[in-house]
Amino acid sequence: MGKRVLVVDDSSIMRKMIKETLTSGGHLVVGEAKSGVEAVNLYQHLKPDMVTMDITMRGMDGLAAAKEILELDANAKIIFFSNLDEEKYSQDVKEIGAKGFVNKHQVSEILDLIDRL
Amino acid sequence: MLKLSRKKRSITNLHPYSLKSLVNTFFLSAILGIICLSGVLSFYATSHILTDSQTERKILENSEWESTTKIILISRSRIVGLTLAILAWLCLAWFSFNRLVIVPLSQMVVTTEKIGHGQLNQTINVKAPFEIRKLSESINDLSVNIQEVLLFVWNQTETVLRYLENEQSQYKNEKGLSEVDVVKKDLLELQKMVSKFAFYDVHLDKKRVFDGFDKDTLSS
Repeated sequence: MGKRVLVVDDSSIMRKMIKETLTSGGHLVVGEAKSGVEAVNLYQHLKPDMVTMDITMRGMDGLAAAKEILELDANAKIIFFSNLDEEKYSQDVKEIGAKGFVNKHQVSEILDLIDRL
Repeated sequence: MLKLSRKKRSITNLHPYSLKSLVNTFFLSAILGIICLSGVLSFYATSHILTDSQTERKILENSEWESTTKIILISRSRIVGLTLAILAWLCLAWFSFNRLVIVPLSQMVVTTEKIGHGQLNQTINVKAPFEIRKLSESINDLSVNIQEVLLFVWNQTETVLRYLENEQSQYKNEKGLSEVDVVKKDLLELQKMVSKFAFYDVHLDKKRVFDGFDKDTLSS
């Protein structure tokens, strides 16, 4: 039941925390991307089952990167991670076609969300 | 309570010269030195041969091959030619070093100083050789991590403060504060420190963390 996940976040600390949570939940982190551009490239090479995408990244932000990935692969499963408010982004999440939104400060919620997808 | 470390700290020697002026002095002195050296070699050393350009031409055209004067005149012009080539190379090196090292470093200094002052919204972006670019990327990574930790602290303290909002304790200490009041006070102090930083794409708000574009819902 473990999924292959691509973790996207510009903070190395955050990537470590997400990776630990996902690994403890039995999933495999196949790649880590530091930026939106890297995320799109790695997605094409690795073809993961899921992508966790940070929204506030310097350069290309998570929303733009998610749009690009979904253009390449309409079946891509992207979950947004943010320390920002969910209400503000629930509209964007639906419009872009991402599968969900998790608050970065409750990382363990990602496991429930992944299992539901 | 935190304990003070008893290790001695070494005092870093800060040299007063700037890298820019050091490099400029180096290249300028090298250029002037080469000019002086070639001037000595080509003209001073052969200054006993005083000729005007007409006579020089005559000597070069008509003298026999073994003529010492002719040899010296030819050597003189070759030294001048070589010097010009070396000078051209030095100017190119000076210009390249300036553009590739000095300018990006100066930009890094300015931006890193701002980051050091808590403006975590600043990002260093320089076109430079690998080492300088790697250095600036690492500084950006540090800044990003600090931002994440601080936002985490903010959010978690907000959550706890919300829960404590309605908590009242009957017990009051000698200062008239309950345990709950002390916890609230400490958390608010912690939040005060977090609010001293400026964040990338994020504004702090007492109730929740907003993104940089959410101006209409920002509270004072």
